[in-house]
Amino acid sequence: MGHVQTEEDLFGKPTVKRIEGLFQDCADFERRDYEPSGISVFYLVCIVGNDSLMRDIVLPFSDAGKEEALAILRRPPYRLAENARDCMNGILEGCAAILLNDQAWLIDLSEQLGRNIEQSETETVIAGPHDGFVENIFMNIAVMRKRIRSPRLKTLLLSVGEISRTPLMILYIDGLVNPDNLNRLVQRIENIEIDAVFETNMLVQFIDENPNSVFPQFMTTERPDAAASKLLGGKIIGILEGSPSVFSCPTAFFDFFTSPDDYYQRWLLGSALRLLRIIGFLITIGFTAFYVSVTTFHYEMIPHTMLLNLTESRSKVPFPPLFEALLMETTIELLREAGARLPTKIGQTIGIVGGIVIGQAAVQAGFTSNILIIAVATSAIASFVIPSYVMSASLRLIRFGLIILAGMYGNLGLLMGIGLIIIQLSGITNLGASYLTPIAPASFKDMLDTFVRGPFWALTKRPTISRSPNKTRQKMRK
Amino acid sequence: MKEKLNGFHVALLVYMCEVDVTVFSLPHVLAKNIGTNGWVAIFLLSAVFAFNIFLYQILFRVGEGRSAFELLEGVIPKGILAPFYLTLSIFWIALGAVVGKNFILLYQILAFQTTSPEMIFLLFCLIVYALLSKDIYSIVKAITIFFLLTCSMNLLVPFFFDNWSLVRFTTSFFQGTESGQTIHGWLEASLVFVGFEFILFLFPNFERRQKVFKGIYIGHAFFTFALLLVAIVSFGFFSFQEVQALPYPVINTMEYIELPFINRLENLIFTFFLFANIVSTVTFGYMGQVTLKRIVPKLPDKVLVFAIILLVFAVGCFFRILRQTEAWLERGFYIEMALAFAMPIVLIPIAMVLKRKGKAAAHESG
Repeated sequence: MGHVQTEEDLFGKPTVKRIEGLFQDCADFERRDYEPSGISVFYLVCIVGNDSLMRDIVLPFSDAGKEEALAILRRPPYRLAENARDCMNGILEGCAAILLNDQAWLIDLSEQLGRNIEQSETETVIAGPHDGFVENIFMNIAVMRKRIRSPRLKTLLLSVGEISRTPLMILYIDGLVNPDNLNRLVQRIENIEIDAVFETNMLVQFIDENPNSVFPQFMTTERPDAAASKLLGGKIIGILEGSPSVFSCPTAFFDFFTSPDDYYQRWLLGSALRLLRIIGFLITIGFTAFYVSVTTFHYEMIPHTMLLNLTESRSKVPFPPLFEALLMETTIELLREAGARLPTKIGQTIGIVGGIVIGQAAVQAGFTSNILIIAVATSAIASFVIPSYVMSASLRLIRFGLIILAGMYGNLGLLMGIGLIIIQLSGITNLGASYLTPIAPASFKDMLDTFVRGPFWALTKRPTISRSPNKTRQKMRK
Repeated sequence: MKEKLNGFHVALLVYMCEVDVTVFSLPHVLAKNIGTNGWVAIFLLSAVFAFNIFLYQILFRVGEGRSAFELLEGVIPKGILAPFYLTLSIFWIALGAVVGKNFILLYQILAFQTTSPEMIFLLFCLIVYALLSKDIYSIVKAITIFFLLTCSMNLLVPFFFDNWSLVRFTTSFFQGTESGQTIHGWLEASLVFVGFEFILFLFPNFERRQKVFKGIYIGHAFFTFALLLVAIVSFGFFSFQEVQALPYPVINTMEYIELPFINRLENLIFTFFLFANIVSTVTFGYMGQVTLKRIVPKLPDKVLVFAIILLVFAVGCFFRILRQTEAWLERGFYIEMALAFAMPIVLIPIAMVLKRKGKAAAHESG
């Protein structure tokens, strides 16, 4: 059945036989012949638009003679294809190939498929623009062009996947981007050898420098305003066809704790939110583990006023704190995962069932203590404060490791775990830049826009991590 | 892009290298060996070590940033140096092991009395391995964060105000020691500064500017400040006799802090010094690693680090009680302190000779 492609088939002249051979057994492949001029038109029915087919093929060529057809074909937007492979690629991208005398012309008839621009469901905002990226790469670039109306916004087209040949557009602002970073990124993308990629979060795993780390190393976002602000910070963004997420780099660990909203609020409020997220981060990874550590090894750390309540609530529980905590954390994770997989309407039911089962029945049945419920629930809520879903998922996984260490060696185990996390973080680089910027290497200017959201008059420089040749962002005075 | 260590990070590094278990017993050591108002001695000792740093600065300038090994191998054949290198690296690795094990045994006074110290030490070694197997820039990055965690403990000082009293200080200085003013006593007190000689092994990674040494002095000054804080708090918190009697007065002071949600904070605070001890073991391990690397340059780093960690663990297992580790730590630190002074004193003349040779060679060829 299969037609073996040879070099000759791909790079030879685009003949009718060759084109048909390449698309053998493709039911959506169509051929139309126009008698008077003798041209043959090939295209994939499902990806070309009817209107453009009518306008660019049917109307001009139906009654045209050979000379007239040639005259039309020599005009733009018809373009000459070099060889059979050119024709094949054109057809796959939504063009029609028009063959005449062993020469082929291509004309783009592709129809924009997919949903319209909608609000992102994973990154919602209260104040700020509500549009989100969609799966269509051209629409996404259009959205970016609307935001940054500058010819210095450059777009570089690459493709990823040997079979899928998914288009990937790299966007950067000329003059703001560090050329080394750009070259390094392009090099890495060109080195990917895989049959196909479908999602940005999948793509970035092929280009990160520490593939075995639990932490995400490229910031991904579905929000054009976030992507635009990264571009203006001297960073590079990448938009992949078929994915509503856009990656930006170089990325630092603390970038995952920022949200574009922070800039739309008054700076004091924005700073409070940033600090809240850092606290949320600490609670997420450490609170349950600390509970386990204290109730297993360090009862003396609990003030006596609290001790009575705690021992009373723990007295009915037959398990050691470690198992108790792991049980509840797993249940919460089950609930979360179930909620994420179910349609929204049933998802609410899960919430109610989970709330009642965990909130009351587990305690009454003597499975867990009340205080652990508070610890586990607080950690879970705190994990949702982190704006990036990929980061919050990573942190939830780390939490389990810390709980086990705390159950084994108490506070010492907990801090050893934290030490391991710090060591892991310190080894990560992204396009050669430290993941721990702005702490190490330290940059006090950057800290003003990391742990807090400083007032705009103080945020005059672009982030150092992007190593931008143009460092000054604004010249506003107090 | 080749990163270079800048002054800021080197300052933190020096601070972290100097912090180790000796800080916890410092007020006791001062009261025992130097006597009343022993904290004043910190100024004097700190100045002596600042001079030691100055020697390194001269070495850095004269040696034009070359590493100690390059200088040594410039005048002495490598074959003769090899046994010397081997002895030094084993010493450093063993010292790192003793520092780590000493901390674990000390920790077991507070908690986990019945847990096998070897099990905890194994986990400790695992962390040291994780850090040591990274490149020096990653190590310094991790140390920066460890510094923030360890240093934030200094913020607890206001909690001691209630129990702290100026009355406990006397107007007489350096009185009431157990056996008068002895050289041994002063030397024992100065052990607390051991650790900064690590900078010698970072010469090739330094930015070629004097700013780096400014960072080292600042780090040293900051450490001196932290020591003063620790000593003054302890001397004003307990009576002089109590400070003399308590082996680790700093830990005892922490037991008095009470927060609405947590009591007995020493459990947590002392644990934070885990990071300082990890850094000490890692820096000694790193010194051993780079020295061994001169003997077996072709051995892959991962294998070398793994072997070092095995040695650390083995040496650590050799000591089973705190008294042993304390005694060996003291001996080890004495040797280390002597090395800290000896290394620049030996290397500076070598560097000068090489510089002259280099000039002569340049003159001939030019």
